[in-house]
Amino acid sequence: MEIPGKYFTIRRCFRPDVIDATHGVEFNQTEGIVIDQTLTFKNLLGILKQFAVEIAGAEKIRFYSDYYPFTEPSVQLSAKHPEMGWIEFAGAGIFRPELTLPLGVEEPVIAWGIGIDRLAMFKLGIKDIRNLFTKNLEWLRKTKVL
Amino acid sequence: MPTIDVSYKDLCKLIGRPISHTELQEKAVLFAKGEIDAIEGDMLKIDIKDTNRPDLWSVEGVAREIAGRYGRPGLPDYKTAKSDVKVTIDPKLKNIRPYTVCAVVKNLSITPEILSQMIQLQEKVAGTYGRNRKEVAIGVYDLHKITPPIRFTTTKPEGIKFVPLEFAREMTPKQILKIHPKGKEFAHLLEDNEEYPIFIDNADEVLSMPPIINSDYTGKVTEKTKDIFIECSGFNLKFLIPALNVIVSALAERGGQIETVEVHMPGGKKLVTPDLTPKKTSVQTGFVNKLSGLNLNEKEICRLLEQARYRTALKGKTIELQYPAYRQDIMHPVDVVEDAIISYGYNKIEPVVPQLATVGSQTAREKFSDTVSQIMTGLGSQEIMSYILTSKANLFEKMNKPQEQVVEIENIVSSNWCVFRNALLPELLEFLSQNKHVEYPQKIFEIGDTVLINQNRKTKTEDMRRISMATSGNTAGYEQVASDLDSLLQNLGIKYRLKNTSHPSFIRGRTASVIINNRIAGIIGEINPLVLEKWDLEKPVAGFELDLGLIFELL
Repeated sequence: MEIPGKYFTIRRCFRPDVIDATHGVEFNQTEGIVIDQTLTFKNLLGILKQFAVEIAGAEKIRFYSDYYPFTEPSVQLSAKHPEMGWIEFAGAGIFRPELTLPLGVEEPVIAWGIGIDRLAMFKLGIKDIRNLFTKNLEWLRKTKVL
Repeated sequence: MPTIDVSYKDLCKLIGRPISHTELQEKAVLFAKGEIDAIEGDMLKIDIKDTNRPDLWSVEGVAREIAGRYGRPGLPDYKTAKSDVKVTIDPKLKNIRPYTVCAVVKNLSITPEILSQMIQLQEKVAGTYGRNRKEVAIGVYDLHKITPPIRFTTTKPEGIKFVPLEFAREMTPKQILKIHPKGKEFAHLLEDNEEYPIFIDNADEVLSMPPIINSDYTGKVTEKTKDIFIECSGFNLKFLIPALNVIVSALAERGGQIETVEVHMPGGKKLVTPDLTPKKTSVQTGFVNKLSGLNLNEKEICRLLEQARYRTALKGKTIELQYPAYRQDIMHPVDVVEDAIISYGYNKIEPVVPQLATVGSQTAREKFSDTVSQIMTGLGSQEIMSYILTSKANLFEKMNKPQEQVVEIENIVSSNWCVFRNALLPELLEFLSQNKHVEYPQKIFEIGDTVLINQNRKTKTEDMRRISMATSGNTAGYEQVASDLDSLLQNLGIKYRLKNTSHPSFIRGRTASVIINNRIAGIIGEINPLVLEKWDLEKPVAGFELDLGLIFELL
């Protein structure tokens, strides 16, 4: 692994959940890590904010204290949808040293999981996450491509 | 993640000052890793995100955490006195339920609110932290109905009878497991044993049969109860001790006076519980700043940690810390740093994008998928995206195909999403079937993953990237899709040939296998009218499906 390094993946994910406007049993997620000696919690917030503001175009964001067994400190990112209120975008944190040290990594490693579908809801002005998998051909033909 | 119900008035009273809903939502509740999920009148539903902090799963715990940041910082000072209650553990419990830790809490003035919080905390701790009572079962009793010393021993399933909570008649342990709702719910935790665990006092009055049910006489706590006896039983002191500490610390916040109980273990060992002596750790001020990115001086860090309910003592660059016995989650200085920055306030920290010089690129496979997508769009096709989860009806029955082995989901949410697709074409037909009112011709494609069974893989499954296209309209036919297929493969620089084949989803004589490098890489043809009928499609459809993984490897 190169240091500094940034790595990410975007894949389809599955979970048993109650399906509603912001939850599907199937969704797209990006998970990523950034590794460098200089990284801090401030940087983690910086990266998360970049996703929310620059990719999703969110105007109001908020960070919540959060818990994951493998990161500490941990944080949740939410953004305010103009009509739907606060929606959770991401869970993130800095990997616990108990996790990275056995792998020979002494540098801080920032990690996140971001619901891309929810970013897309903001960007496209969609009010129901299920519409990202729309079967409406007319809408697809007329909708602006990002 | 535990969700707890708390009274807003009660919360403010415990914090020691009123806090507006907005301030609670945007600031205060974040100190307890909470998020307000709903407000209904006086009742708040709070999601507590930390599944490793059972001390936060009650209004007392949430208030204690918030109060630290609202004028009541520092280590909570819980004193314990000595009670005259003793408990002995029978060696016969060794393989059944070998441990218990206990406490006495006196001078409680139990209001309905306190009672409901006690029950909620007990349920959350035994349920979430105690793995649904397997690791931790908790019993709370009216101390004055008990004659100490108490024996933690065993009974035969047909043995000691008692009246279980909320019942009016005596039952044997076996009957309780069969008839009582809690007995039925938790029978699986006991029924393999030849004897069952039981708490019984010196007057032979039963307290409870853990982890199932209390006795209706001793184990019923009401608003009239002043003094209580608490026991936690299970297999591992590592879980039992924090569970007991969490419960008694919450009651101490209500003014309860904690008293210790002597637990005599088999082999002569004696345990005095609860032990609320603060635990110790330390953190370097430099480490706090290095991890957080903040620039705090020693005094500021101490103040933030005091707000998080630590006791601090500065020794040079080291902060010596004491923290409450109800916390078992602090394993490393990173845990302390998080507490400090939660006190500081996540939303007051300035987000800074790191300036790192790295070169990024897509993987070749993803780039290839994008290229294919661009070519298809250039050929006038609309890209669609559908779910990977589908149904056997869509994959087989509606495609006029015999059933094949597919990867299935064991605990399905809906019958519409119960298997992983092994082909894309059914999704395209479903799409077309829902757009019959839209202008024709229609030309659509999808690039996506299918999941196949592959016994050679560790997971026995394999993801396969594919492309499928379909066109529908009065003149849709083999020649059109063959022309698109030709353009796509020529653009990709792939040599291929078509070989007449038959397939139940397609029309005989209008179907071909796509052969690349002597391997079957896909299929092309006109959709069988039988299939069209099943999808309720009225216009002809032609299409193809290709294995993109195979093509990528040839590039």
